[in-house]
Amino acid sequence: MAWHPGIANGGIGPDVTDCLSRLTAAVREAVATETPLRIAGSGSWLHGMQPCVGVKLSVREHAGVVEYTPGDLVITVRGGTTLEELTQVTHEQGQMFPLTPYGTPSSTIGAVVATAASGALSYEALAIRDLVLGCRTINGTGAVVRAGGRVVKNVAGFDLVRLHTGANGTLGVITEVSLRLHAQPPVHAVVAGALREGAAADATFMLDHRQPLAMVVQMLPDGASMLYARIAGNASRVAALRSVCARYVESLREITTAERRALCNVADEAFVLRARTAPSHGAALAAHARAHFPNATLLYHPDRGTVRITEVAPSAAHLSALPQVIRSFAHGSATRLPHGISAVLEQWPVSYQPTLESCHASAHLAAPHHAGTPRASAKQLDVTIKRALDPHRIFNRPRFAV
Amino acid sequence: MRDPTLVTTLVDLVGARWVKNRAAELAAYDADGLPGYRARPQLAVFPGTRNEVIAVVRALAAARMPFVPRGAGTGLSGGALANDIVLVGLNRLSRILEVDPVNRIARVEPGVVNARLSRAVAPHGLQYAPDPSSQSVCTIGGNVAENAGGPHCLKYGVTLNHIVECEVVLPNGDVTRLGSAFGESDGYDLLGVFVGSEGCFGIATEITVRLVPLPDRVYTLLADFPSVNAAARAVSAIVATGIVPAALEMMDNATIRAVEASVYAAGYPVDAAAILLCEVDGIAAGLEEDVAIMRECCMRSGARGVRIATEDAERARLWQGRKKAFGAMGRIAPALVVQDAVVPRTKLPEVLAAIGAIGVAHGVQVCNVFHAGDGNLHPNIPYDASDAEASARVHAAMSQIMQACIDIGGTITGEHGVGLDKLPYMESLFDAESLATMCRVREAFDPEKRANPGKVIPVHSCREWLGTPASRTVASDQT
Repeated sequence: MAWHPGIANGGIGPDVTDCLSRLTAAVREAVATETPLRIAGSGSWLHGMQPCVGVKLSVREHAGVVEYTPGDLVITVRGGTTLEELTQVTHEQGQMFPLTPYGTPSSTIGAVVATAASGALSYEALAIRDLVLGCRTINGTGAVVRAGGRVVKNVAGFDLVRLHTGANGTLGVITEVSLRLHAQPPVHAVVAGALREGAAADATFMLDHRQPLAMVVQMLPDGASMLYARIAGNASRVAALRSVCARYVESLREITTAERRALCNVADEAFVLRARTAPSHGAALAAHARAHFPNATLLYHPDRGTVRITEVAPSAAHLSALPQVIRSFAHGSATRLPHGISAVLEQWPVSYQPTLESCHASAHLAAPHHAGTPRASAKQLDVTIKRALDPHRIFNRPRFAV
Repeated sequence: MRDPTLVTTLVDLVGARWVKNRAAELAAYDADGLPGYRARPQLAVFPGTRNEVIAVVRALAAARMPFVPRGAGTGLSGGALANDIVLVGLNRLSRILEVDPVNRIARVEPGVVNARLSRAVAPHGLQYAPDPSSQSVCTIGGNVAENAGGPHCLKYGVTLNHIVECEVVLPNGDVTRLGSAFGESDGYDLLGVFVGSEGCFGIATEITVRLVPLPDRVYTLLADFPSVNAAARAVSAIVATGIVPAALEMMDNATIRAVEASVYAAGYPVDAAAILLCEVDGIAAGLEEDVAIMRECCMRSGARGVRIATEDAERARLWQGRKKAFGAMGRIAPALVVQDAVVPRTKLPEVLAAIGAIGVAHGVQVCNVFHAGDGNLHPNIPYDASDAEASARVHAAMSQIMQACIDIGGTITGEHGVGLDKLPYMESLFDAESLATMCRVREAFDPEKRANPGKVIPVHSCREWLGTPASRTVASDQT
């Protein structure tokens, strides 16, 4: 295929110095030749629910800090900057990016924003949409567009930042983001312990969840359950939060960075299904997930009503039946789960090549929608917005199937 | 030009009492909370139910009539003005439909008053956190339209962070739901872009909000500074400790004097160059240590003294002075220009000095009262709008102030919205491509551009887009 030299061999190489102009030129070339592009950061989320076709456009080399004034608690970095790089730069100033997205430290911030990745122990249950203040993108006409800004409050104009966050790269290439940071609290730890029997189903479990504390319950296939909690603040507050956690576990201990990373790491050879209901029925959802996926590890967030279902190295038979299993799971039980279940398949095992058909079958499971109001117009809005920002359908086809 | 058929249609839909078309009735809607802009709708219609809202919007679509949605009309950007078009008032939709204390959400109609919602959920130990100064009057629908902020958004986040789902009637009359209270999203964050769209993307007929627990304990500190610079240093020092105050508000001497001379007098020291209202809240454990650290930050930055209020009545009095400060400025002059710029927090001393110098150069009195912890400035200038020469000086000063904030890396509005008032600054802030992209997103929601026309994005920015080669390609694709 005749192609722009910068992306001829699977991606922009490290020798390219002016990455932004290369990226822009590549998009413009793609527009001119109507060639689909597959946007990649470190490449770790491409084995998601739908395969992206097209020529790989790597943003990874477009990395580094654009502007960082620690006193402002705001940092502007290029899209290819990894979480590890971001952590290093901010920790040196006694600050932190308060999310712990699933993935590895080599995940890029552009991908974290594009996938709206949340994490097992994100600080104060924050989501990426709460932390992105501004972005610069290359849209589907090759234009460089700025949205938001570098200040912590901003309502100037329509909020394009929200549109790009979680858009899976279908509306443009994220080349730069401005992020809100937190100062590191005096004490900051992740504690863990084996959960007491029945604690996860206890209604007060969720209600006790308040203040700077993130909590997740890891449920292993053998029936063991571990509580992990991120606690932070001054010494007195941390002691109080520890005692809240201690009510639910046998013996509380602080975990290591390696254990923390392991909790967020996603094995390549795993499928990952994210399911959600009302927090009041989160424990019922976890039980329902266990019944349908006996060999999976579950991460149950009591405050969010979400369960993340991960099964490593599932059998080929299990994988081919997966869309049906998910459908049966997502239809749920109206009596035990009156708020319904929404489910999103986040990842197929890397080595598995699902058919496009089964991708679509499993991708359209989401949202237990409010009775009475159709969402057809919202779907149509998705299509119109895609057409507005990427008129030639260059980016990450066929994600979102719009 | 009034369309008699449309009047008849609307009367049939909502009843004659709720369609206003006499000049005396319409005069009440000539302005919003920002004096200085006036425009009269040709017609105002007040649907009383969700179904009536939908029917009204469909009737307006059939008549191809532009319209402006309006809540309580307390906005501060001229955004709720309808210039010879139809105003759709939503304050009759004021029911709290559901409170779910276990899942910490409430479903409300758009006309529910902000403070009433917090009062209604307080017995469950919950609150609706965003608290604009107008919270005793403003509506949740209006808050959604503007992505309203408030002093406590420093810790709790702005309106966007508290809205989980909306039922929306689009300008063409289609009804849809955006976001999901308990579901995963399965498309773009349309709710995120709807919140703060200033009535240009449609009307929310039902809003599901997130509720947060009431704090176990609250401490409010009043710190008194001999200079604005010292107060700004204290803000930086507090933020750098890692403590996230519930609020961190600054008022300068001109504002303190206006408040203390008004019925909202809060006992602020009138000889202070600036005061900071700092608040921390949460679980009781560790809170007193935070208070001690914040006090220390203020004293080390040069505070003359720090008063700590723990009693509700005393705290309420301190807050009333802050929240009614705009009203208190009415004592100085009949009209008021209110600005809403946001600057990086470290630039506060520099920007405040620049604002002071601009005020002196133009011979106008600038009163600063603002969300210092967010860097969200509200430089206000009281003036007499009947004095043309004074008005010109005020507007020249404001224009320079806004440019100074933009030049320093800031933005033109943090919580009030662009509306009409900040339209002239949009092109200083965004390039043509960015404005054009915003226009395209607006067109996705409202291709006919009938919802709140002429606001947010300068009209010619959209025309420029239509002239670009790329857009011509798109246009031909669509035909």
